[in-house]
Amino acid sequence: MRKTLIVSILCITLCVVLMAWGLRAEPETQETPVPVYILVLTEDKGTDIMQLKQGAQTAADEINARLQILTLEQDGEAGPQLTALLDGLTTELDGFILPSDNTQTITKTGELSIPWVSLWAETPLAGAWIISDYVEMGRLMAQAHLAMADIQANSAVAVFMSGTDREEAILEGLRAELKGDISIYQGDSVSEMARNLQTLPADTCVFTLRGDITEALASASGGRFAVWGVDPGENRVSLLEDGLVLGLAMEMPYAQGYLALTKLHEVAKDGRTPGQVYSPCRVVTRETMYLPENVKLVFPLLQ
Amino acid sequence: MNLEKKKGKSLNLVIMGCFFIIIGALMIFLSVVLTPRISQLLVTNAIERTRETVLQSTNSLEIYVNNMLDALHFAGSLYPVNTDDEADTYFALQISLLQKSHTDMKSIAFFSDTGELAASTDTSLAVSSGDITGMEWFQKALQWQGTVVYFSSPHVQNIFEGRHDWVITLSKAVDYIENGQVKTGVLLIDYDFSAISSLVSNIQLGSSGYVYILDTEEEWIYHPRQQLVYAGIAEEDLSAVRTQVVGICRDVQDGRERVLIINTVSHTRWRMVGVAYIDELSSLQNAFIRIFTIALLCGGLLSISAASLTAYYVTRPIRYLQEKMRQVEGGGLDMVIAEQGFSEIRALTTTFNHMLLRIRALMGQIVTEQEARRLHELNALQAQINPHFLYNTLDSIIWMEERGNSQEAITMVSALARLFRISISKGRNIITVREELEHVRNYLIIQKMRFRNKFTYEITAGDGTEELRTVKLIVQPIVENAVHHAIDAYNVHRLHITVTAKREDDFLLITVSDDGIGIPEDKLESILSAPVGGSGIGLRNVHERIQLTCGKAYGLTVHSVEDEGTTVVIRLPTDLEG
Repeated sequence: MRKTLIVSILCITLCVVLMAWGLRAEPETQETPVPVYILVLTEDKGTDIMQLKQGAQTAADEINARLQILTLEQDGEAGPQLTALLDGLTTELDGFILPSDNTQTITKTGELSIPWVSLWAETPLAGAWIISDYVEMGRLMAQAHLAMADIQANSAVAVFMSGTDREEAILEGLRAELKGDISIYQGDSVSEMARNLQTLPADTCVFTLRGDITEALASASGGRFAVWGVDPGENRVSLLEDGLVLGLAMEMPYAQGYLALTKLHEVAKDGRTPGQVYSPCRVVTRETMYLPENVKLVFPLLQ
Repeated sequence: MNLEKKKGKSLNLVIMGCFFIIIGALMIFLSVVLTPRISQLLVTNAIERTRETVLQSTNSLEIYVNNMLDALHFAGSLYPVNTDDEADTYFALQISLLQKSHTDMKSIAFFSDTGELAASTDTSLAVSSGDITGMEWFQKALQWQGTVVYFSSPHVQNIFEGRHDWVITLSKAVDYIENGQVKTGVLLIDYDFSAISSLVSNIQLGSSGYVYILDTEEEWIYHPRQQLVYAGIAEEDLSAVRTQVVGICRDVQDGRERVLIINTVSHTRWRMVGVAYIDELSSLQNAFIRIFTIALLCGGLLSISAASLTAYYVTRPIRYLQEKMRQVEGGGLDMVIAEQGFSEIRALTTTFNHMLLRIRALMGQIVTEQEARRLHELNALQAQINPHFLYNTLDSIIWMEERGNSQEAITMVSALARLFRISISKGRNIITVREELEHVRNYLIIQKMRFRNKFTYEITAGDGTEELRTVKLIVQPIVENAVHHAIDAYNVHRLHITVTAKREDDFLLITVSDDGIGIPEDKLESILSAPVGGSGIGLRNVHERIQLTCGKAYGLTVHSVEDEGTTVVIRLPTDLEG
């Protein structure tokens, strides 16, 4: 009798435990906590920021995460603001995305105990940083330039830049494709660059490596020079349609937002540190601006 | 006799084994036969639900498209057949009102056959009439002569100054009369594409599923990851969709199996493709399999428990009975086993109790019979060692010696010695007929010598009877009775005593007859139940001893007629073993 009772009690106990475990598994699945990520912005306007947010939201929807947008005040240090924001959060935060202009204020990983990724700058302190391959950007610009049928092989090339790391990388890409001499005009004053532009021979091909420089020199050129530039933002359409630039190198903020959140999820959940992640870039000309692969880049469909 | 204990199968194990076989077979059947079918059914149901969602979405889009077409046709009907400035102005007012009533209308414009803008909600054109006539929407509309409406893919409309709206352009040819001439112009309506993209982007097919729309050129009208695909970050394989207009197909992308549900949007010939992931559709299937597996395991565990308990409760009364039988085997014949358990076990217990009762009765009977036999034997022996008989015989021997009759004394001593030797017979209860007759003969020799003229006797053994066996000391007591009557003082007749042994069928008959006065009838009836005669043994003693040894079919039969004589027949079996 004892053996029978032991066997029966053991079986019934196992059965109860099994049923309890089985019935609990479903609720646990449904109640899996949703990761919460924050996209920190210094400004929340402009089509590029809109696309960045859309791309991040697309990634959040795919991984079933919640994305919040936090905008810092433009006045004041970003670091303390960020710390104050994080301290004031009432929900549990799994990670955040920080634009590069604020990452410089983060000097110690100890300041940020939550996983984070950086945008637009190399930031070894972060789990990952999303930047465009600027060398590739330079190469694409040079290739597009060389593909132009009316470009003279021995045309002079002038590069106008302010000397940032990004511009240096673009210049590296240009040099890799353009075999001839390249005149470098580096400075902080856009108006001075515009004056320098007027001194160049008419068949000079001009490469401008910063958005505001592009806009200023394209306007100053008035179509006299073959100007290649970097996406200036809102006025890109008129520059292209009016022919003031031959083409613009454009980053893909939608893809950047998507990659930023995807990599942040990897850092937060899997503990991986992807490090540097390149987002794609593209050179758009007047002829190609309405092609399906470019049109949403030039004319973002904002919802 | 040693009975070997042979081990057979345990009923407990057999019952449990039967349970396991039945439950196991059921579990295997459910797992192998039912589970795959139900699982497939769940997935099929999930796919069907997804298909219905896509169908409903297609219907919703078709309703929207129909509304767009209705508005276009209505706008077309508004255009005056005979145009002039006043009519054009009135038309412009009407289309302005129409646009205001439709918030998703970006612009409405009417172009002449030469591309000149005749009326529009936005009059600031950014392109020339030549550019207009070269545009696809214009050319197609004229080509189709108003029978078919041109539906563009989503695009940025750049014909208006300062505007770059994402629109779907509808255009159709409209006939009008200008200066008496029939001309064909083109009516254009731009619809805000975000209305369609919002409608489609809100369609949820599981957590990862989505919907995209392709035009006839396999260009995307809408795709939630269009920019990612163009950026090379994501992929969308169209090979399965290419060959179908309507239907369901499957493919694998990024290691995940997908089901693609394709529908066509009427009027536009767009294909709406719903993408659902099998692993998400199978969530219910996975849940079912998990729950089913748990249920099967629980069922298996419960069946083990039930089998164990059932086997125990079924076999408990058997084990109880078994234990009691063991006690009986060990000598507990006095116990009465309580009836418990199933009716069959109770019947078995009842039968066993009856058997025990019978055994106890038989054992008691045996004890009684053995006791009686022993008593009778003792009595018989006691008779033979009767002091009076011995004393009288010895006295006779002394008297003979005193008289000098040594020979007679020797004869009497010898007869006495043989008498006693046969009486003892080394303790045997069964002796030969020869020995029994010899015993009687010696008795009669002694008595004859003592009572010379009182009786005569004759002892005869039939052929083949002397070697037969008989119970010891059964003839002499009967003969003794006859002798007592012979020597009775009141008897004046000289008695003749005959002792014969013969075989009749399967019986050995030893007859003792005398021609004495017989036994009164009233005494004859009870003669076998009471001692008769002076020696005290009695016919009853002999009769009971015979029956104890040989059975109820044997014993004494007494026939007597008064004044004629008495015959006592001793009936014995011929196959008595001793």
